[in-house]
Amino acid sequence: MIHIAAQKTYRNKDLFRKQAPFTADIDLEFAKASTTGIIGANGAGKSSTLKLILGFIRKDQGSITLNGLTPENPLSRKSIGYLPENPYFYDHLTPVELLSFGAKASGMDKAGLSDRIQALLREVGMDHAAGKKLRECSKGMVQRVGLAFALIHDPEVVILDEPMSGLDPLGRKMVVDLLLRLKQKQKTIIFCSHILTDVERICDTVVMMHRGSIRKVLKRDDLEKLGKTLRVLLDTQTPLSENRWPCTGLASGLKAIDCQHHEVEEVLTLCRKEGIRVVGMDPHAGGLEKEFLAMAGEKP
Amino acid sequence: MMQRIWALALLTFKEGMRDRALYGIFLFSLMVMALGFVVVGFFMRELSKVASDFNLSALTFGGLLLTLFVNNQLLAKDIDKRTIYIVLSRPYGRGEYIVSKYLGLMLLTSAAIFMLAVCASAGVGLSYLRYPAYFESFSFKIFLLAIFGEFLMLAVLNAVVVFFASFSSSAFLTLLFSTAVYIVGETIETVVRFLKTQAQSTEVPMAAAVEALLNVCRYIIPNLSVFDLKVQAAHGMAVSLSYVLFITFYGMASVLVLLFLASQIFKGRELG
Repeated sequence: MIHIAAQKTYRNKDLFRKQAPFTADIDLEFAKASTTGIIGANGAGKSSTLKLILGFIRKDQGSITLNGLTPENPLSRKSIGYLPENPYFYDHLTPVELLSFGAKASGMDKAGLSDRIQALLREVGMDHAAGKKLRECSKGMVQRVGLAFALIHDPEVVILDEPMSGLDPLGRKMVVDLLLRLKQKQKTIIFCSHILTDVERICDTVVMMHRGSIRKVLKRDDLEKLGKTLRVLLDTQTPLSENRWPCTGLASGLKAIDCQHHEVEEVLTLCRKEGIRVVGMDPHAGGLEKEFLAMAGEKP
Repeated sequence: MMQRIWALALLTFKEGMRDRALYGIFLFSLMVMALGFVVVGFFMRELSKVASDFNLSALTFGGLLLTLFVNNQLLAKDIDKRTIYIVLSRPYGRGEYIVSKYLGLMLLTSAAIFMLAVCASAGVGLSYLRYPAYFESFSFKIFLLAIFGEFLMLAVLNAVVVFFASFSSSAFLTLLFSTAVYIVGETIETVVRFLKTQAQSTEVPMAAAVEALLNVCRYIIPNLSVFDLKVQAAHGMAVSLSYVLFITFYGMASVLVLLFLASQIFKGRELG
């Protein structure tokens, strides 16, 4: 459905501060009805990937196609809904006016538009501020309106750049629920996020980026394997004698062991045998976060 | 495509109409027009000329402030604040974006000029009611034609602003370039005439480099002085239909060329 195999080099435009050019080298395929999360540290090239797909920036080499059309062709974006990172909309417009523009710009009919706008604003929790000017809305409210704007024309492909940014816990839950509903509707979803637990929970595929290139692509099976990892917290200064489970030092002074679910019994028995006190277990730690930290920490 | 263009043009118009700076410009222009009514009383003769000049100048000044500041800001904000992403994520081509934005700015300019024209006409009308004897040679038709000329000039200047905004990285640079084009466009004809007259009278030929530079400026920069009908309005001098048609087509052609160039440049622009 979307294929990108492109290179893009950002050259330093500053006359006085010379910096090495930054090259993004991306080769990805987004299948129809798939949910893909792109993760990576700041400046890894996540947003650039999305901008290349949408044609905001031009590739230097390679090819990009959306349903067989290149990003230079405006029709390639007909069935795309996009939410930029830290969206900024026209100050003096209201959410209703903005969504109405989004619908008209996508060629939607006027019939039933008002109901669709109201329903969508209700879905993102902004129905109470439908007539409020966007300049008077908080960052989180603007983010919610941005989500509604991306979805107003019921697009086949939804591209969201940091959709949880600036949202309170309720807002974050709303986005996760919304993404899960879109996934149920067989929409193709591509989103960047730093909230790895959400990415792990929602996505079929996770793309890890670092310094402009793709370092790892994890499929659902890989994620499930990661999800079976359990972190055992130990109150000890010495590692376990068994080196199958290396100890990691934590900021709290405790030590941690990451093991598979089926290994827990064995680890606990070993701890008891060696007189090491087990102070807790964390089912979420490890997993994708561990994988991500290992990837980001590696030398280029 | 027309629905998309119209949607963005209307959005730009709405955004511009709600800008507080627009009200400031209106208030300022209204104050100048009111002042004109008072100033007319200070003169002993040619009151119609003073009233017409004052009101037309206030209208032009208001239109220039709107074009160079409000319209310029409306374009620059799209790029600076990345609002353009939400527009271009829809099936807009870069050329369509340029045309839509220009139409939106022109809707705003038309609305503003209409309101300013009503005020300017009221200003002149009040002076006429107070001093009817001094308005014998004054013609409202030519006064309205002069307003139309100013509108055409602003249409070209808006296209100049769009052209510079298509590649400039800041609103300030667009303002600087557009102001320079306005000044050169308004004065180039006078400068050329003056230099040629001087060269003839002193029998010292104009330097080839100066002549070449002037010719380049004359062909590249739109001659905005052709739209200036203030003198005709002030003296009640008739303006031929052929001249009105000429400036209309000249204005439209300039706008089309500028928008075409802006679209071509903007197509290659990185919006990262």
